Amino acid sequence: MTEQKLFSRREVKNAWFTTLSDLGFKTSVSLHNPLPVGRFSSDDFEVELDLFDSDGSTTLSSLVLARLASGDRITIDVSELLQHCKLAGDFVGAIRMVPQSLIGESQVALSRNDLIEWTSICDEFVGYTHIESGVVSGVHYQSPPMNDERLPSTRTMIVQSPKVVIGQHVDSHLLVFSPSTDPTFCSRIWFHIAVLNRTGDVMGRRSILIPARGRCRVSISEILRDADSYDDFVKLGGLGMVVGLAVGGVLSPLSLVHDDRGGLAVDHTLPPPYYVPWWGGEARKSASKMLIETLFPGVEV
Amino acid sequence: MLHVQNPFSFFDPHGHHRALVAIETFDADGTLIGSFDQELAPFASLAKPVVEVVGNRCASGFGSVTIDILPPPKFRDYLRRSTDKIPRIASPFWVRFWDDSGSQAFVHSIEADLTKFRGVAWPLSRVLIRKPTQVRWESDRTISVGEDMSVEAFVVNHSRTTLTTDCQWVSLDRGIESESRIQIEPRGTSLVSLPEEITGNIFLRLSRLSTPNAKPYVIVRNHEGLFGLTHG
Repeated sequence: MTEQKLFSRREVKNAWFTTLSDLGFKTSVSLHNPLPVGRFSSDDFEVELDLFDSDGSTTLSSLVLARLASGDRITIDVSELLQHCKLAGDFVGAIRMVPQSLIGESQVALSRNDLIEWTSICDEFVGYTHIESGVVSGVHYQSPPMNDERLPSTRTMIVQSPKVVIGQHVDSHLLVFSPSTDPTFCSRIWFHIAVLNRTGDVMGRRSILIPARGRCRVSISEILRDADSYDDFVKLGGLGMVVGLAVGGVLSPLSLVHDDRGGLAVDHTLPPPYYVPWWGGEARKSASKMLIETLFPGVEV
Repeated sequence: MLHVQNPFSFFDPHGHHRALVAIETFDADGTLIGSFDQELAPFASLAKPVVEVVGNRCASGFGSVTIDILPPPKFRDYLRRSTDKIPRIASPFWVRFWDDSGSQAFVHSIEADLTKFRGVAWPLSRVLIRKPTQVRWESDRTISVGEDMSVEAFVVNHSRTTLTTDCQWVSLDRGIESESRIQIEPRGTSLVSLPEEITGNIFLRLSRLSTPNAKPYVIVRNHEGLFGLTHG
């Protein structure tokens, strides 16, 4: 898609993340200015932070954190920043890496491909440090343009994650948040979850509503207990899969395996094109319809 | 523990396709040291301990894993009917690491095994994978290393040619702190440790990766031995 639309310079290269204080972890974000990369020449980034509470309401806006010259790196201690600002609870953050060459431009004409190219210049590392033990877990990912009316996008999203581990000390969670490159985006997104055992049987379901730029963490044990199937799941080894269906937009899903002694496995999930690279169009629509009939009966898309 | 699901259920949910999961494990020098196949029912998943595949055959104590998820013929027909493009598929999976102290980590397979392209005759396989681009790489993550912490990186060669690469641990304050040249056979793995006297804010740089996304796996342990592990 090469059609250009107007974007704020703050929407060019973003890093979205969420905090995890509700599980006892501090949050940091490791950033790097890798420029020059490909067709992008050497440039400084102005690093700004927007912060939203779990309901998606703006808590902080355009807080300037640093200026990163080409090759520079910085680790932003988000938890320390929150403490400094006397903010408690969990938040969704959007770090705006604003190319200095665009300062002074109120808007920039960019295509979806341009935005993907900017997204791809580097990963961001979101680190979660256990407050008691100090052990650092984390995940690398990129934040492409999402939930943006200016860009063609799907209105549903499928998550398949065979990473459910339940047992003594250990629970699994889905941590989902709703980034948006579009400041006017205000849709709430339904996220339907099905927990499957190893043989593919549905053991529990839950539906949650995620506000724009909001956040939610869901315990898989809780879903199983509510469905009265926790014991059966554990008897089969406590291992299985979680399937998610987002309706009305797309979400950033992270899967967590948490040990109450401080360990945290955190990784992003892999969307369907990681399995079938050309996936899309009518085949995708038809498969999504069948999947909803099979795993999420009654859900309206 | 290897974690993988039957992905075909998500692309043709009413097709009731079974998936054949073919696991192979390789020692650090790239030698095949174990294999295991299992069929998965629709929507089923597998959690397989690596030790059950490897047994006691891993002389170096570390190595690599490939998983090929093979579709049944009727799923291949379904793909061919669904697209006019080459109906290629990939087989991503996850590996869970943990210990008795409470450490937990999950990483996904970071790169395809580019030693061969499965499901086609070998001349076509050679054409499809070509010689992958070897790219310079440095981690976007800065690791804050305190005293009594340890950092190790596992570099895997996903290509079909021997990889020679220079590994550097770079301090934000002091520049290159440590440098070593390693040579890795196809499907082999090399362990690069941060010298224990180095502390502060550091990152890893490699003069080349075997394939464009062959980022190393990095394990960071705290003073109690609890660890976190990530790719890149």
